[in-house]
Amino acid sequence: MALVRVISSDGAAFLVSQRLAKRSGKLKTEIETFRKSSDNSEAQPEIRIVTIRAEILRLVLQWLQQHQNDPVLPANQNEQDGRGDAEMGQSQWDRDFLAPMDLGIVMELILAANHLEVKGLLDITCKLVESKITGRTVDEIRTAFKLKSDFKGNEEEQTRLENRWCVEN
Amino acid sequence: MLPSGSMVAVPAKLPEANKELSRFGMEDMPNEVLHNIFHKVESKHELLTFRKVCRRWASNISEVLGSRTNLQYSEWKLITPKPDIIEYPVPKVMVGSSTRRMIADVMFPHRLSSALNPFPTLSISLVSIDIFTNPDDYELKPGESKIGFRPLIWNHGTNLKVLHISGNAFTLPRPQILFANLPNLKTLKLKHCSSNPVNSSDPESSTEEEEAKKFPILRNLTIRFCKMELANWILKTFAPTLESLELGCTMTKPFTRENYPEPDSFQNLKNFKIFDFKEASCSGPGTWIEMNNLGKVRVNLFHGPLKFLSPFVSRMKETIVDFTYDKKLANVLLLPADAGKSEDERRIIYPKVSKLCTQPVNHLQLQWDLELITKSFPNLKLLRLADYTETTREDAIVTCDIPAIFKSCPQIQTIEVLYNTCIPKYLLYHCHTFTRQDF
Repeated sequence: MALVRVISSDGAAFLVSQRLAKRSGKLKTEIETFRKSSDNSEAQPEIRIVTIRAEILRLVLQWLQQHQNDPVLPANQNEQDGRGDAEMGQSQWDRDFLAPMDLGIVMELILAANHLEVKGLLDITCKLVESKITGRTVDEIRTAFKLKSDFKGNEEEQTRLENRWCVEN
Repeated sequence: MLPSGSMVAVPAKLPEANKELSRFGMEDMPNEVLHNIFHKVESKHELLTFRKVCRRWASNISEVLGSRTNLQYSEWKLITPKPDIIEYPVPKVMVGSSTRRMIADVMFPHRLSSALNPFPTLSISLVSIDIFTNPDDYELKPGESKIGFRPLIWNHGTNLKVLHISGNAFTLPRPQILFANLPNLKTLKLKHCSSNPVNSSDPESSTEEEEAKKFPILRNLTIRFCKMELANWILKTFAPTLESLELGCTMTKPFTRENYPEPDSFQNLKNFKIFDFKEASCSGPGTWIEMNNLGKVRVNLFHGPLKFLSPFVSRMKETIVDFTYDKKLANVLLLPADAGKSEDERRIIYPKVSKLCTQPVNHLQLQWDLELITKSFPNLKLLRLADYTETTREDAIVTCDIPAIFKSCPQIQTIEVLYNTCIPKYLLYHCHTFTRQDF
């Protein structure tokens, strides 16, 4: 079985089958680039992910392993209908997987899924965030996500007016 | 033996979590991730609310709003009154670029094969696209075809006579080049489009004068929900040849005379319609009417547009304010509450009106002053009385005193009494028609 070493930003090395790794768009590209540049076809690729720490990388790989037989989704699939595979049926495993995570971990997982181009994981984590903002007031969202209003003067009102053309009855 | 797809070795002990790294928050999310999140919000109302969180959210949500059609909102499912008017995008044609990850639905009125040859009409509903990028490597699903917008225009533009484009992020970076490649275009309908107008400093574009020579002789133009820059450029460019012009809700800047071509430049205009003007299109005081009888649609027939109409009226056969939300009410003048306050408007516009629709608020205003109708609307042929609750034909005759109207207003030939009935989620419209000969 062909393997690849995936190393996190804090130095932890994960030995992963290439078949599994290639379910990440980013890792797939890295493996193929390694193959093209390497003289030794038997050499084991080593990929360092400088933006993802071990704890998060482990979660991504865990999710990939669970979903290794799912069809790979095109990166732009959900642009059109506003929904991705997250809507098509989140499994109980996914729900259990996300349930214990605090918002900070979810945010990191989103960034990791986006960086590694793991569409399915990105979708379910974004869906989770969506569920945490839907139904909340603006102030509640600002509090929950530690966001501050940076509108100046009547900018907020101006933004609303400028985008009025999007708002069709 | 291990399965081929698996994680075969995990470090026995993971490094301790770095607290600095775990501080990631919403502000660290790249725009594409924010888009992904906002795209999952089904409610348009919620999206509009979320724009108030911060500037970055406002900007990203505006893009998301623009890239979706009303069919994709949960509210649409609740308020849609008429399922049969939905334009389903079948068959689909994908247009876009991999870099922008854009997808568009191209809606053809006929099957794709017949539409491509001779390709007479093309209706495009674009989610978001840079018009001059190449098609992406989108993997087609059964029943879909793919065509790049640029090759589409380049290869088929010569035959194209009707072009409908909608989608707010549809940008025309150099619209002059687009139109130069559509020499036989007769009808153009733009909805939710934006553009930067002519950029003469662009090295790829030829001079305005050269391009102008190649522009089509456009006869019919509809512009709705378009950015002012684009609307201005198109109006000014094609004003002399237009025979039919429909304007609605053109935004960003106030809808004022100075933003538009001089009325005299519309030398061939025979048909002019304005519709669903809104607050932002007409800054300043206006008249809002709650159209309770028409699916709760909020309509603004603004004082400004009526003034704007005046210069055109003298060369038009009839004044038309097209109320497009309901086809049954098309081609009538719907009186806003303060319409006609200006003597000029009354003098110039009212004699041109052949069809008039009034609502109870106007009924009250007019106090059934039939003499006023007779004097103000000497050429009125049809009077439509709207916004009644369910009524029988006999009741309508009594309630509206139809015989009295016919007697007092000899110019009126037909009276219609419009009423609606409600069933859950739907509003149905009905009409009793009375002619002078009936009495």
